[in-house]
Amino acid sequence: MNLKRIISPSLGQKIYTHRKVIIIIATILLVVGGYALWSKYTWDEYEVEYGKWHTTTQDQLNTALMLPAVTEKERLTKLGALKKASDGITSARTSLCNANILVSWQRIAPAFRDREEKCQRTVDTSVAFSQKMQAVITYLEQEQVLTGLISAIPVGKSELAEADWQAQAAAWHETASKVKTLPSNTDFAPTKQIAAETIVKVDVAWQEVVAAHGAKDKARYTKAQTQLADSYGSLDAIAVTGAKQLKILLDPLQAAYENAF
Amino acid sequence: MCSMTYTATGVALLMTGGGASLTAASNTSSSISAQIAALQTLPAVTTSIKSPTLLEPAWLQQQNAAEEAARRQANAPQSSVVTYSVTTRGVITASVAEFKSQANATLNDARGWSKMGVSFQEVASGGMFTLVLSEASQLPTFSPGCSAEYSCRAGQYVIINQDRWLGATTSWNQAGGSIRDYRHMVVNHETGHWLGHGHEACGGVGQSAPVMQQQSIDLQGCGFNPWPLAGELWSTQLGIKKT
Repeated sequence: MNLKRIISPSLGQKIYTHRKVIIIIATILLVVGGYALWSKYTWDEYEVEYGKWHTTTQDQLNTALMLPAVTEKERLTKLGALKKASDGITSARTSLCNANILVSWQRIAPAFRDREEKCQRTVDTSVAFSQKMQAVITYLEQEQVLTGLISAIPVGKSELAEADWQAQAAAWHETASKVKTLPSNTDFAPTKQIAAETIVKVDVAWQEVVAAHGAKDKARYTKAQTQLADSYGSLDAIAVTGAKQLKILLDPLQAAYENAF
Repeated sequence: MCSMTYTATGVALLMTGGGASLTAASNTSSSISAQIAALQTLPAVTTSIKSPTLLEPAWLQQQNAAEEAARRQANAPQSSVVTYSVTTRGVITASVAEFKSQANATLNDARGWSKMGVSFQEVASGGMFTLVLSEASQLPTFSPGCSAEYSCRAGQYVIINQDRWLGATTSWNQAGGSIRDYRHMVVNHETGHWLGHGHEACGGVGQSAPVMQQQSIDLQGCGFNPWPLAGELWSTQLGIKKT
């Protein structure tokens, strides 16, 4: 193209003469401008979406936390709701911070890279919380099985006549056997161990009471009575260990919650 | 653009226009540990289990009773033989021989006061107390506190009302009690006063009445019982302390 021909006496004449070039340039500007505007909109939406996700996640979690837990049914419902909310966090982990492929290259710009990193931080802290929550839920689920076994022992009467002793001995023996076979992970293992040890103590004490009773051996029976009372006292260790183990999980959970939300 | 979301737990404020997300402080955040700890039921369940009280089996009761009797025998007071004489007052239609025989059997019965390690011996006169079979109308002559209705104890006199000896009481008979058991009860009760006992109340509905309860008048929900309970085996008169 000759420069002298473009620089003509009048602008109108120039435009008329070179309209094809102008149309091409205008089209390019339009496309580039449109893309820029759409990019901005897409990045804004990206931020809005993960912000919404974060808020919704927290709402679901808080709603689950506020559920009543007085009855056994309510406790199970609440545990289920917490598990569901926690699972939701984990499932969002991989896809939430992936920007649209048509704009993702723009992360070379610090402003956009910051947005992606902020999203990733939000997800990472949420997932870290979720993992700790899963550990707590798993612990409580395992503990619930143990609680069920202990609750099933018929300990209603404060005074037991000799006719009741055999049934008591059998019930504690059966519970001791079942507790030994309970599944447990690392978090629950100490609670299970102390439960198994103390319940076996009660089991052994009851067997001794029944044996001494059968032998009508007063000295042996008196000793067995003391042994039985001591063994029941040792059951308190289950509560202590259980509370301690849960606290070990709850302290980092609290910190993770405050970090994530 | 700015939108506000109200939640059950607090206010979540989402600022979307500037790309900033802010969640307001939630009531829950500070108590998540407490909320979840409340789901733990194991401590409550285990601490609620208390060692039961084993009721003493029958064989042990027997062993203990035998040991107690032996112990009491070994630690019996200096005067382990309680002497008493028998007399009558007023018009007596009952058999005095039977009265003497049955009263002595009651006093020395293994279920009775002899569990304290004492024996009762009838003597011709004198003695530590005097057992009297009295016509009902003569009861008030022993003491203003004695009525013609029931038996009584006044000083050294252990007085059995002849009407009660022969016919027990209406409530006793209506409850199906035997006349022999009534005689056991009335002799033990009045002798119990001489031994130093006052009146006792029923320990609880369905329990055996203390022998020192006024069973002729009101059982208070207890069952008739002609014999002293374990807790009644003491005597200020004989210097035997409650164990």
